[in-house]
Parts: sequence; structure tokens; C-alpha cells
Amino acid sequence: MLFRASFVALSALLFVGSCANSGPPAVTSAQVAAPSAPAVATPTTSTLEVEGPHKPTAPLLLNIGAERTAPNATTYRVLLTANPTGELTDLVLSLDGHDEFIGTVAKGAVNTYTAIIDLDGKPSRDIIGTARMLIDGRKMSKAVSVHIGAAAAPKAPTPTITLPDGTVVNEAR
Amino acid sequence: MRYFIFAAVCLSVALGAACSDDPNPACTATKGTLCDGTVLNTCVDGATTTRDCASENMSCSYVNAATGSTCVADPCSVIGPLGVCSDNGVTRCVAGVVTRSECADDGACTFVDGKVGYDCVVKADTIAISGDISYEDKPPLNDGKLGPIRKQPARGITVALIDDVSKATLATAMTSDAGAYVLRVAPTSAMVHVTAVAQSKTLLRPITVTLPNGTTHGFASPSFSGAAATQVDLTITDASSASEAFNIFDQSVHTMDAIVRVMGNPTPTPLKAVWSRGNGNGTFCSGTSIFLLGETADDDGYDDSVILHETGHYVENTEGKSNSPGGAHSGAPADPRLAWSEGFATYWACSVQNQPIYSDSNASGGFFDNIDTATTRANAANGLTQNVSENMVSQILWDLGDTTSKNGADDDMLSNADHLKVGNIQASYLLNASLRNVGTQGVDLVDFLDGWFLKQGLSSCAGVRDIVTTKRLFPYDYAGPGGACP
Repeated sequence: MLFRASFVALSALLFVGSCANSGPPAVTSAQVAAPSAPAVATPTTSTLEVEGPHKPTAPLLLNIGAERTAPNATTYRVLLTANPTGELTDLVLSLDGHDEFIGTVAKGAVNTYTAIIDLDGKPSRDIIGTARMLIDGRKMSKAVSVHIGAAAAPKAPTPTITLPDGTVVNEAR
Repeated sequence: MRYFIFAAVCLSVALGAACSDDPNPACTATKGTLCDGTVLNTCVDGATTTRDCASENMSCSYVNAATGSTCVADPCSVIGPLGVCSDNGVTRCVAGVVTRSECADDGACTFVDGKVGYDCVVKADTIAISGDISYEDKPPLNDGKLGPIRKQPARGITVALIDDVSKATLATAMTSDAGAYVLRVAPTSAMVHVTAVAQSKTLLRPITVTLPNGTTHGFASPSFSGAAATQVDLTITDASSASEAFNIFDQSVHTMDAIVRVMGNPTPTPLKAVWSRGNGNGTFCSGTSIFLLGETADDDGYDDSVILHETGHYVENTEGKSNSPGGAHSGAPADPRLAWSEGFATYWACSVQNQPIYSDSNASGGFFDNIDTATTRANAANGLTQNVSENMVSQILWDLGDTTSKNGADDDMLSNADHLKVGNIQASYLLNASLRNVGTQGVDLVDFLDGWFLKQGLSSCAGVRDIVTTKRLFPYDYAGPGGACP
């Protein structure tokens, strides 16, 4: 993995604004799908709001995005953006297992963490971005992921059966 | 005649038990084990050894094909509400007592329907397709992470025998609480398979687990000939991406059984759970449906307390009352109605499991709360309408209902209550009560405490005051419809 192997030697080049605070994100999820990036990078975000009571969740919006560093490159610039919806203590952002301590942040103070991450010879990888923090002295965390590299091969449709009562059942194996 | 049948069955390879010239019933039974009342008979080299389960304060019960019969502390926990077939008899558990009926010579134990369960019927020319069904589970640890894979019985699920070519359903049944099933059909030359379905349409446990597209989760066995009796054991694997659906079903069974036990409602409202691996549409409850994340970074399919937290909201919606405005929440002080609803849901998750750890795994390891040992306080200087933490609510409810803590003794001054009394306030008070005009308008902690004293009386005043006001500084006025505390 280029990230671990090159962190010390290339940290000045590969990490951009690891503690950038309150500034606009350099890369957004929307940019991931830019035409200049032929391989897919599918982000997940924690920003979706749906009616009804949700599970207890760390009070921040966490987004992850990625784009190729150059056409046909095997490296991706991955950006993790944390937007607190309440005050956070001891915030730590992490990309692909590498931590960046941020500390106490106020509501609305956006922090970003960028890393250049290699495919490590694999056709694709899922990159995990996390935020860990203390809320009223309790540990909480949130995680998001982005898929870099070749798009996952579409799965063959799972066969279904229909029971006598009309229930359609997915037959996994 | 019964012995003649046993002797014939001795020829069955499937039973695998030792046989002698003078057949011993235990030697022809599954795994060479057979219950006679509370005595377990075990066949060893053609002879029988006995074990008196009653002397160990246990009952003797058939469990499943893998175990046979054995001494169990709670027979109902392995038999379930629909009974189970073994050795051409039916074992049932009624009010904690195991009963067994042998089928007549022309009869056979088979699944009748979701009301009757397993019973003896005229077998005609049928064969039994039977076995045990389990799923791979990753149990939550006490630090937010998940443990290694273990097998759990797939209890109370639907099982179907399917014709490979026509896809016709040849028979359906349901598993016992140890995962055992029997499908009885006329022999066929067709190739068939068994499909486990994450669904129950029984009155006691009406649960369906679907994918977001509405199809119900299932897992199919390899194909086999339908011409002869066959034992088909099935393990629903993590690799199939279906095992989490069966864990969600199993946790929902916990909630259904608790509704019967806590609320006294033997016919819970049907619950629908929606999950699939990759699903990023949030974890939340809406009406009688719960939705669970299946993302790479945050998959709740094995997070038992998260699943049960959402079913706690379903319980509020079907058995009690909630006026929560909903939305995101983290445990920080919030609208008292939201704090009450979320605190109750977390309490429900813990009380159903009878352990105080709320745990939510994710790709960074996850996080957890111990609602027995943590102490979250209100502001004593503020009034009953102040924003409060959902954590304070769940801690108060747990302390009201628990009788022991980690060290064996209770760590609060109320030790004669139980979780039945706490949970039941939803149905017995909050559902239909005219709420007092103090606190925030709508159901909150104040209304629960009003209901508590109305239903439990004022003898618990000192204990509740210790838990609510002394330890957590919540300024409840102790002057609800149940009377004023001294």
C-alpha cells in the first residue's frame, strides 16, 4: 500500500491540508464522478435524512470523496470532510487506518483530511474514512467509505421463488 | 407395535444410533437420546444410562437433529411456540412444561400451520425432509466491535421445499427455536431444494425481513432428489450476504416475545425489517417498519442492540405512544420528547437482552454505552421542560428495572422492581393516559414517572428519588396522578 510505505517520505506531497479548518473542501463527493476519472469512486455519506427516529449517531456530517491523481494513475486523492453539528472533543479523523488528531472543534467548523492512496496492485479497494470523538465524555465514532479503482462487477441476479401466499423470496446461496 | 417401528427404524442410516436385538427406545431415537418425563435416557453400546434432569432443576427435551434430547434449563427456549417433531412424536412446551405425544401407527409428525404448529397427522405415502437450520452470527462484544463468527439456530423462520425446475412450493413448515424442521411430502422423482425464509406469519411472531426492493430474504440448500426421506441441515453463511437478515429476524423474535411477556399482547402488530448488504439508506424506524444500514463502513446487520433499538421505536408506535419530533441525535441534551423516545428505545434494546450494553459497530471499531454504570445528569437548576440526554433516560429506566449490577448487588436503591414493570408503562399508561400538563407537551420522562407511580404506588418513592433526582439531578416534582411522594 503506497499510503503506508510512502507516508514519511512523501508526506509533504501526499497529504494536503490534513488539519484544514473551516475552509471549503477541495474535493467534494460530486466531483468524484467527473468525466476525467474513468474508474469509479463510489462514495457513501452520512448526510441522508429520512423521516422517523434514527439510531444514536455522532453529531457530525462525514463525507468522503476520491478522484484519480492523473489519468490512468493507480493513486487516488481521497478527501474526508467532517462538518460538526455540535461541539466535538478530541476529534480524530482517519483515512485508510492513518489517524490525524484534530482536537476540540466547534459546531460548523469544517475539517478536511486528504490522502493519496494507491490501489496496491488490486483492481479496486474500499477506503474507509472515520471520525472518532468524545461527546459529553463518551466515545462515539462514525465511518464512511469510498470505492476506488474498477467498478465492482455486477452481481448476477439472485434467483427468486414465489411462495403460495405470494411472498417473493430471494434465494441466496 | 411401537417397538416394531423402532426396530425397523434401526435400519435407517440417518439415525446413526446403535441397535440391539432387544431394541431399546433410546437406541433408536435421534442421537441415541430420549426423554421419559424428566429423565434423559441415553443409549451407550445398546444399553441405557439415565440422567434425572429434575434433580438438576432442569427439564428433559428434544432439541434438534444435531443434539437429540438433553437436559435444558428452559425447554421453551429450544422448542418454541410451535412444537417440534422427533422420532415420530410431537414435543411441545406449554407454560414451561414439556409434553410429548407419540404419533399413531398410521400417523406422522408434520407441520400443520402457523396456529397449530407441529402435530401428528395421517401420513399416507409421504416422506420427511428434515434437519436443522442455523445462521452465521457475529456477536457484538462489549467494546463496540463484533466477535468472530458463531452458529446460531434460525428459530421460528419459514422453510419451504421447492421443485428445482417448476419452482413450485411442495411443502412449507417453520423451525423450532433450536432450528429444527420437518417437511412432509409425497415422494417425487424431481430434484428439489430447501429454502429458508426470513419470515413468520404466526400471530405470536409476525416478522418479515426484506431487501429494499421488497423481496424477502432467503437462503437455498443444494439440490437433492425428492424420492426418499432426507436430512438436510442448512447453515446460512455470512458469505451469502443473507446471514445478517436472519440475525435481524432473530432479534425481532426477541422483541415479539417481549411484547407478549411485557405488554401482555399475544398478537403483536406485524413488523417489517429492511436491510441488504450495501444499503446506505440510514438506520431508522418508520411506523411498523425498521430500516437498517448495510454499508461497508457501517453495517448494522449484526448490531443486535441497534436492531433492537429500532424495534423499541416500533414498540412505542404499536404498544405505547411517542411524540418524538425525530431527526438526528447523539446523546447530547435534546427535546425532552426526543430524549424520552430514544432513551426508551435504547432501554428496550438492553432490557430485551437482559444486559446493559448498547453497542454499534462500524469500520472504525464502533462505540458502546453501559447504561448501568454510566451516569448522565440533568441540570438541577432548570425545570421539567429542560432539554435532557437520551442517555439519562435509558440509565434511569435500566436502574428502575434492574435488580443486580456487575458486582452482583444492585447499585441503586430500587431492587424490587423488574423490567416487566418498566416496559409495561408504555401499554398500561402512556398509550391512553391524559398526560399531566407539566413538562413538555407530549410524552416525555415526566409522563413515564407519572405512570410509574400510578401503577406501582408510592412505596418506590425513595428508590426512584435516588435514581432520578439524587444521582441524575432531574427535578421531577413527585406529585403526579399517583399521589405525592412523602
